[in-house]
Amino acid sequence: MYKKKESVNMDRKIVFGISLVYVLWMAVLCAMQYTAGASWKAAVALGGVICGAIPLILSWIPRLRFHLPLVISYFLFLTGSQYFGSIRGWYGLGWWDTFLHFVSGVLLGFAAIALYERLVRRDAGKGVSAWFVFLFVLGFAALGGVLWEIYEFSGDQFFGTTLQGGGNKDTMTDLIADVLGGLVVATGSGIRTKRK
Amino acid sequence: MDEFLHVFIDFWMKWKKKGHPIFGKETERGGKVKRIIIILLSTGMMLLLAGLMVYFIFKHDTLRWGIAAGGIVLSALPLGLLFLKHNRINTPSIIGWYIFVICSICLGSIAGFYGRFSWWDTSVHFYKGIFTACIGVTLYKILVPEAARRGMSRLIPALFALGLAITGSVLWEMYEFIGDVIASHTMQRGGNTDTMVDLLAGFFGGMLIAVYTGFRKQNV
Repeated sequence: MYKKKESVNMDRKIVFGISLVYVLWMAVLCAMQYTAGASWKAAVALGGVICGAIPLILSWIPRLRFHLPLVISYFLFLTGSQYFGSIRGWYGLGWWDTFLHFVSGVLLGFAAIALYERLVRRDAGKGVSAWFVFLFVLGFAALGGVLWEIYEFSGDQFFGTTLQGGGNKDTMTDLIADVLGGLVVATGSGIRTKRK
Repeated sequence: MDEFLHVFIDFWMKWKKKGHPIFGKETERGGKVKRIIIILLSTGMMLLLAGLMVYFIFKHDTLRWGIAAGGIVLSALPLGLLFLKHNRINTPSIIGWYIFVICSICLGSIAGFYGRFSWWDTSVHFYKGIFTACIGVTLYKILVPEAARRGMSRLIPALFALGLAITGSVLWEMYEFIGDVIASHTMQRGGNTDTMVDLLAGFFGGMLIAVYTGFRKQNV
């Protein structure tokens, strides 16, 4: 789980590269969509520039450690939701939304691992049961999924949006996809902890 | 007087070390009491629900005898703890489990509190959130050795307890949803709002214990 200094620097370069490519790609798309008159899609692409710029700026902080799987799944998620989902219109397919919830479950699982590595001292982590790591990662992913649904629900309740327009079936499919995504990462991290 | 005290203290120390001549060692005795409590509570609940089941079978109430049968299974689950070499689930958790079974199966479904009071369902979900988070704290103490616990941020047990409570809520809603899709079409009747209120109640119940755990950390 823990890395040496050289590989930390390497990770930072990789993060810098990926975010730079994403930001440039989104900036070009933004300009193209704007000139084509699709202002909504241009706004989404602008959002992409901002989301991609966050890890780009973070990669300038000298001693920050990056968790590479987290960053990679973050960009996969952004590509899926911003480019394919909104700009290419794949959200209309029906299953794309569910698939992205699965990806976000994976993303949250990696976020849980990154958080765990930072909150547990290196020497303390040895005696911890693999089941603890498994349940921690799974619980974190489920928590993220539920908080997202709570956010959508309160938006609908207080501001009259229709984020949960699909009703109960939609909410439940989203949650199941989130938990399954988290389950994949949790199982992997549990097995890795057991091996050590 | 002094001598008497010394005799008493000697006897107490011996008892703690070697165990009482009749009741055995202190920890062993605690284990025995816990086993007896588990056996008594589960058989009591199973008999009660079996009685109800027979009663509803005679009344041709298919739905309620099915629920009673489900309750028997839930009541039997803690019996599995008897097969563990070291059962470290504490007695309050076991009693808490039976409170849950009574509130949801007996009062909620069979006595119809779910239908009669709109707040009952939400309260049971709130209680379930608290209960699962408490189980989370117990699991944290079982799965993470004392030395490792000292090297952890207090956020880890707090997030673990909250995460377990949420996972419990989500699994419960999944069970209701899948049950509705396959068979009954009744459990998630309330639609999206119902599901979300259940989840929120579970979340707040878990949050309560998570905040407490975060503050107490070493002493939970």
